[in-house]
Amino acid sequence: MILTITLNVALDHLIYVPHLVPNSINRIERSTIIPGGKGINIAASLAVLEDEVIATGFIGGKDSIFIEQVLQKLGVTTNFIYIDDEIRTDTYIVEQKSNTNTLIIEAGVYIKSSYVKNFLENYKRVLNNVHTVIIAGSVPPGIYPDFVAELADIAQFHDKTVVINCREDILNIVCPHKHFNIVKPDVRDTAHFMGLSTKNHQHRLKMGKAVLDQGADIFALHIEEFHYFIYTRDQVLEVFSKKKDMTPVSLVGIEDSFLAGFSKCITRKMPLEEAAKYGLATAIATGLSLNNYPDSYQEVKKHMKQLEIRTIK
Amino acid sequence: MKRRVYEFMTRDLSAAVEHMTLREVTELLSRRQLVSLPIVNTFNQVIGYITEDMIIRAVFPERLDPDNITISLDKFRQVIKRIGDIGTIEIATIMDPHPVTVQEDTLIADAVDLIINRGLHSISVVRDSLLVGTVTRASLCRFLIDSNKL
Repeated sequence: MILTITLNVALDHLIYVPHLVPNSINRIERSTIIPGGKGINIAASLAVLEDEVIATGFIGGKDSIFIEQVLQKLGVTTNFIYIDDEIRTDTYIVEQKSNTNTLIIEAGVYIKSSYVKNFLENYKRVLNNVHTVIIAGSVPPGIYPDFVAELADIAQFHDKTVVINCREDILNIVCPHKHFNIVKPDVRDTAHFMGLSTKNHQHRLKMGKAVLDQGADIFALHIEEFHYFIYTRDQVLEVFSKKKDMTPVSLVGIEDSFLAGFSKCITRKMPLEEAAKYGLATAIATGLSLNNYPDSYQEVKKHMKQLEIRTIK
Repeated sequence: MKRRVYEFMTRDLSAAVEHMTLREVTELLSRRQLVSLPIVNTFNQVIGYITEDMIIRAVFPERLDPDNITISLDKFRQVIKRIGDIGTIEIATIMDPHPVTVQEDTLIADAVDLIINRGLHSISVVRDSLLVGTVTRASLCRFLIDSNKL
């Protein structure tokens, strides 16, 4: 069983418009509200992939039960700490004609120390149920990046596989001198990591080496929607879709789905190539879905056939 | 009816721990709109359970009349004061230390039998003694109606 940690759970409000015109009335073609936050998206994808998964984090307010029910219906086991305040809402404006995604992301609500204490107690208990911990996403106000390091330490002390998927500011504090099984930076804001560009081959090699030198087993890097690089001490792989004309419905959850599929295979000791393809197939299925997870396992399997994998090293 | 518990259990690990106070557990039940909770140890093993009834009995034992739950304003004030007085006691002192649990592959008919015949609100579902879910009367009714298995 895998545990996903989402410290900053969100409600994702997806708004679909043909073309967004600022300073005017825009009519929405379709909108949907779904549970979100990186760890939540990963949990939902894992459940669709028929893997056993527990989702934990902080939720609060009138939508808490809605979030739990949606996840449980997908097959996710929920284990959240309830807080008094309403959680954040992230808004995604998807312009369908131009395939443009505009993200408006809230910082999240302040998490009091009493909730953090409850979370830690609960986390230590639920670790007994799982073999892998995935820590993903941002940290809300009241929680410091050191807390992510503490969670990783506890999981490692209990011999769990640990996967981390956060922004650089958190990884800089958490990663050095720690052993992570998989590190995947969230580079959506800048397409840069460690002062290097994700678009440049030499830069990618440097950042891959740096992360592996810090103690990670695998470094996974997102380049564009359906294009990833995977670095280990022995191998460098590039995985991408052969279909060049694929347009995602929205970008929400694509990277998280990649990590879900990839982590599922790695924890099952499957070959790296297979894991990379499986991750990308899951990402494609999510990209072509209206949700932040694949519509079905069959969809994921269907996309496995259209993938190209290249061994760089 | 050969269906199994894992098909309809609520996949949620909400639980209390025995050193929590009555006030903390009451808040947890209220926030989550639950009527009972399993009590787990540090290994996430179910070691007891607590219900709203047990809390009410703890707060107001001598006046509890199951057929008449209406209480006067004076008595209500008494209840509030009593909660203030005993809110800090640990639930280990009032929980039932004999939880009813089932395995995920238990037949639904057997789960129904337990819930109805023993008058339980819910039962904990375990795997290798670890909590993995809950069967409630509500989840049971929903499953039976949704799947038209009645």
